[in-house]
Amino acid sequence: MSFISNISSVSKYESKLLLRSWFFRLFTVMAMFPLTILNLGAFVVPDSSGFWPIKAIASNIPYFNLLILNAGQAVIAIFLASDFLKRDKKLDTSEVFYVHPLSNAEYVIGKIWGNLRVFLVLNLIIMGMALLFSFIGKVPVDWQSYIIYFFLISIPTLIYIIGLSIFLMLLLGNQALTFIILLGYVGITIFYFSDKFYYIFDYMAFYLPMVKSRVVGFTNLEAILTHRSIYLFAGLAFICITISLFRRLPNTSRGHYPWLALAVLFLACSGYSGYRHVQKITYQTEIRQVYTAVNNQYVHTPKMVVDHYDLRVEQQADRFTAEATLQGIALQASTRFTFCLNPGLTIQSIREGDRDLSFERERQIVLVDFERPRAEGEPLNLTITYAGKVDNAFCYLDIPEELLRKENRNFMFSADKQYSFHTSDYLLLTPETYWYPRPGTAYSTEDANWQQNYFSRFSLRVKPLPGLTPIAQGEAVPQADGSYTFAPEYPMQAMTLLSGRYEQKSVIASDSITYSVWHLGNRQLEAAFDSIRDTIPYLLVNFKEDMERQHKLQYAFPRFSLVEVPAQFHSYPHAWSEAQETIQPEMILMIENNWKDETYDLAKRTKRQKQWAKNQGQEINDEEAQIRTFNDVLHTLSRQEGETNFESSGRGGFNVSHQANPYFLFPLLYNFRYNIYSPEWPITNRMIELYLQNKSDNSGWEREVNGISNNEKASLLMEQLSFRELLANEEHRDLMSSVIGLKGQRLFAPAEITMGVNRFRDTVYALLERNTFSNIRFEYMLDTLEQVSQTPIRPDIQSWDEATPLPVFTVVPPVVTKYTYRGKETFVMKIQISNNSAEEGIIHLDINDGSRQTETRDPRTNRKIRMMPYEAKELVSVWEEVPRSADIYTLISGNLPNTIQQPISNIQQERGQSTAIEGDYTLTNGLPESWGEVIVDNEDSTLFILSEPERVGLLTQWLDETEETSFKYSGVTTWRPPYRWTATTNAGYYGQYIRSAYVIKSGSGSQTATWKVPVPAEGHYELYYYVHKNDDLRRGRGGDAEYQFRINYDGETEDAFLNMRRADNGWEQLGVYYLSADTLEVTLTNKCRSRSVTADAVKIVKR
Amino acid sequence: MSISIKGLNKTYANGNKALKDINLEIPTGMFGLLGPNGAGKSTLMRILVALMEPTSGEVNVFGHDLLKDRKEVRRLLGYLPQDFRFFAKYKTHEFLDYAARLSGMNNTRKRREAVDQMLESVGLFDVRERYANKLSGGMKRRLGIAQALIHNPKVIIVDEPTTGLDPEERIRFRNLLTAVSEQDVTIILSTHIVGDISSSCKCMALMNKGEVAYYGSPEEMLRQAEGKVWRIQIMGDQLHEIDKKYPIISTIPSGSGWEVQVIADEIRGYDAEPYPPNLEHAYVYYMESKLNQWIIDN
Repeated sequence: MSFISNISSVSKYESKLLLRSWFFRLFTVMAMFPLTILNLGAFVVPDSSGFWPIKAIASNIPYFNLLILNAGQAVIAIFLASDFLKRDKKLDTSEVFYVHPLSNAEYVIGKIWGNLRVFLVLNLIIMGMALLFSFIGKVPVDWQSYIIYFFLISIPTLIYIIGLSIFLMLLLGNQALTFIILLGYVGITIFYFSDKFYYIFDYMAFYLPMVKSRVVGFTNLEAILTHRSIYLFAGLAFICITISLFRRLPNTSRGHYPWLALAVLFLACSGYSGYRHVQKITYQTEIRQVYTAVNNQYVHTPKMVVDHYDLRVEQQADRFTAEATLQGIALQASTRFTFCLNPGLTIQSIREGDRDLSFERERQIVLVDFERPRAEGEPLNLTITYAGKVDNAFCYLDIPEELLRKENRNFMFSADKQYSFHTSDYLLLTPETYWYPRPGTAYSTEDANWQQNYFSRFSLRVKPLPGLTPIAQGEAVPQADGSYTFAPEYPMQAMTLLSGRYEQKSVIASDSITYSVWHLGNRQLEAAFDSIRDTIPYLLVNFKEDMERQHKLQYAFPRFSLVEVPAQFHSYPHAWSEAQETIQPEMILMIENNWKDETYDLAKRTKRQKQWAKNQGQEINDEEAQIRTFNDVLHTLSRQEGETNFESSGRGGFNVSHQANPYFLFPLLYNFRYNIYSPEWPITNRMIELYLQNKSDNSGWEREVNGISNNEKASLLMEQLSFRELLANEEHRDLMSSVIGLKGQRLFAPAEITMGVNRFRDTVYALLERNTFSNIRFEYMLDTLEQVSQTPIRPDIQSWDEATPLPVFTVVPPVVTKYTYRGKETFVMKIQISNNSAEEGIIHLDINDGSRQTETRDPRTNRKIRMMPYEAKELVSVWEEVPRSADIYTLISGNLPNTIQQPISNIQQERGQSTAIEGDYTLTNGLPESWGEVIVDNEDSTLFILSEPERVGLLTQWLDETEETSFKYSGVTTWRPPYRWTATTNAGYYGQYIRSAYVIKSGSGSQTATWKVPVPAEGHYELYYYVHKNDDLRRGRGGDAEYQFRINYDGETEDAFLNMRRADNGWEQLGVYYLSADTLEVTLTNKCRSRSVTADAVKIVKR
Repeated sequence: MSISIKGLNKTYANGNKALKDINLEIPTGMFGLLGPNGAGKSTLMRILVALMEPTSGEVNVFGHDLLKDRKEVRRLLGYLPQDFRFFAKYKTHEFLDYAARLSGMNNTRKRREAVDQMLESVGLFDVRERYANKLSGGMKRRLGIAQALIHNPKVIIVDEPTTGLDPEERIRFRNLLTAVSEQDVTIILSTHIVGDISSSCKCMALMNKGEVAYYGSPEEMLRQAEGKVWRIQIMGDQLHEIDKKYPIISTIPSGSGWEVQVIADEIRGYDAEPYPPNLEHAYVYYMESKLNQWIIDN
């Protein structure tokens, strides 16, 4: 009793002190104020954005609030906890308490509890606030999560940090030192270690994935508990050490030993938890390697092709039992055939008819002995009975470790990544899990052979747990025994099974397709579109037809379902396909409320639609607002790219990258009907996908931010590495799509040249259509295309094992001349291009003639042109209407940028009839050169010189640091220009092949760029500077910004100024000089009123 | 005997021997521990209240071994340290309540009564809501004795309680201690001010340089000094000369010269007469003659 009462006495008075300290009061205010603002932003302010993840999942409200509070209290607790030891030392009156008969443990624990309970009260207040806001925001309350997060986040963090602080304080005896060391520690854990090393340093659980699903709760509770135990036990150990080392004589002479022993025990527990935590993660890596090795071992063993799967599944709380009957034929002659089944599932028996077959199992591989040899094509029929729970570690063997470990984060919330679910009331099995036996092996690094995905017929009978509704492909037909049968009307490569407390909202539209939403008690969608219920079918059909038109492919399923799945469901794009596991035949598996996508904050979005309309001078009603929101939602299914990632790349720059949109519907149009396969190249299907999508390069604002596009990076890499090497290159995995896409474009380019781009593409579509629901061998496909186009295509594949030397092109901007003759106007466009290399190259020309992209296009607007080594061409075309723009893509080339987009302006006028005849003309003398012109560009390594970078402070250096990449050019922003001369590219800059320039932040004028222009002969010369006005200059920021030049010639120095506001893009004259045959030096300084100065090119022209 | 100390030694880490083989028997009642600054009084006090461990020796408090069974000893103790000035942010009554709680007074009502009563008796009831830090020096000291007494301890240890107090507070504090000593308790009063050892001290010890120089009753010490204190009338220029020859206790200007009190076995050559000693004289005599050391009283 005295133990408790002493602790409570000490803690009571310790709490009193804490509550009276200004430091704590200030912190309380500082914690509550921003949290209130954030909550207001999330739940009350009508047009705030970025808060969807908080609202989308009810448990995220306490999670969010506690996470932020915790980060603060973890710092404050250091100070306050270490304070009591300091106080005891400093205040001469504390000793009188030591004289009392309480034990050291009671005293220390009392002090800690006094600290802790004040923080706990603060936590309660914050949680109360969170609760209040969720009521205000009409968000459902997940009561459980308040308690859980409190115990998972706050308690271990506080105990650990308080324990650590007093321990260090006792050790060092100096509060300031303790505080500084621990503050450094906190900083390092948050900003450096963050999620590194399996989150082991994340003591405040800031990064630990802890999003709790409404449906399945935590999927990694064991991992979370293990992780939190590390710190809870470590904290307790520190407290025990502090008790035993406390500088007061213990009540009994050996009083400190038990605490020391306890400290050792707690440390051991903490260490063991840490070991378990890491071991569980590293085990996954190891076992994945084992699985892949097993696949590699059996990838060449004989297998069968299944024509028909008959699956029977009974769902149980912790496992499922199943029976799979496979009917098909032997692909090769053999007695033993290979199958693959998730290693978490145990096979009970395998039968052929009534006969038991013997089999061997190695991890996922099942080798079935059919007792007598079967000939190729001979029918095979077997029934496999099995049961268990799938092992998620078996999924995504192709995805690199780094990517698997990458956080699944949005805003403050990090979610666990699960590929299947199996709880007492929920089941989700996607093909990735191999939840039923399939012939052959899963992912192999040895051979692409495993990829042959044959189309089969499926029938499925599921007995779910009582009260649950199963979902799979096909119409669910309830049976008398509580089970459901599914018999999809079309062949599939694989089947998906879900079972949960699903509710269906569906509508049959005019195209006879049943559109459904399957939700797990989430009525957001229903409520958000209550006014447009009758319009929805129309919108859906419209959307579907748009998609079909855009991709020239048909949606061939009788149903389309949006199925809600738990928040932690995650998928990765495979290298060989656009299709992620989120997309399954006839269904999309969408995470709860699509919590990572702001678009799904439907109520708020609908409200904002009205505001947006108003901003544009429109007045819209509820119905129209809901329609717009509905279309926005549909748009999230039709865009190729998903989340945009901004990563700081130093120097104020960002790197923008896009994740593939997991909900992009393209696979529903393509992947579940066609499959291209090559035993040698695992990416042929992806190549065709990309070719069909006609994916444009990220040439817009992203290119400007990044300084280089992915396709350009891919091109440059191809010069160093062969296609095969690039495919195996993990470092450049993010460029994989660009590499494959470019190779595909190059592969088909000769045929496109022969047939015309549009006609050739139509041929590809027709070929696919003839092979619906069958495996198309890539090589055969190419043979057919060769025959149709009468052009060799396959030879290009031989070059895939070699690096590609890059051609470089000079492109003269198109010139358009308008001829008016007898009232009729014709426009003649001339584009001059030369290939300045010894490599053959192909360029793509895209002319916007004003017609819509989806309409049948004039073949002249979209074509490819072959450029032989050192060939120069003039492309002449005649138009009845003025062409709006001409985009020239140099494809795989050394040109930067590789896309030159030229709006047509400055149309020359001529009277009379045009004599021009359409065609591509070879210019035998190359491109015409201007006589007497000398140009020095920033790419010239000998004639262009930059000043040495200035010495700058450490902080500036750190801010300015760039990540070392293999790419010379980086993005430059106008709002935070670099401190050093930084190379960047832009179509607006001058350059023969590489349109680049150096940019620097304006300054004192100490930084310079110098062009040394050789003067060919004595005489009068006009000096020009090449101007490209960035955003700032175009908008007139910086007022009358003037570039300042020093002109050195014949021993004299003159200043020259260029008013950038008045200057036009292109060559601007700096002055006229009389030059002797020597060198002219033009120096540009960084002294300017605009934010940055750009050094590009100068030229002299003889008068 | 309530406390018995045997062969107690304390050597600090820096090699300083603060206590050298201390043997003391402390009876019930008020025990005075007199000695100059640095004599080792505070070290002894801190060992007695279990704030410090002796290097060797034994201490027995009411039958409990201090080194082994501190908890029992701590139950019996009330302690007022030498320095008692800086408080955490507690109010006067809170500080007392905290002390009361820690000494095991768990009944809230009784504790509150005891606190109020104690505040009343030390004259702090009116300032009970005031933060302890804002009290005057004397009030702080009274709060100190209040917290030492709140749980009715059997042994009260007060270390230099009157240092820095004004005379009025000093008298008030002595009276307070005297009143407490009437009860059946042991009070150990350590001081370097002879005046603090009041008549209520039945037993005392004189400490010097870590050793017990005298142990016995104050009367006995007084008796030993009888006939050793002299009053001399001298001229102004003789003061320097006297100072060299004898330890001077006091000098009072008288007419053109001085009236000087000195310690000596006998006086020759001056106009001297014996003077009846008080405890202060005895203390000086003791320090001077026995230990051949001269100290200056403040």
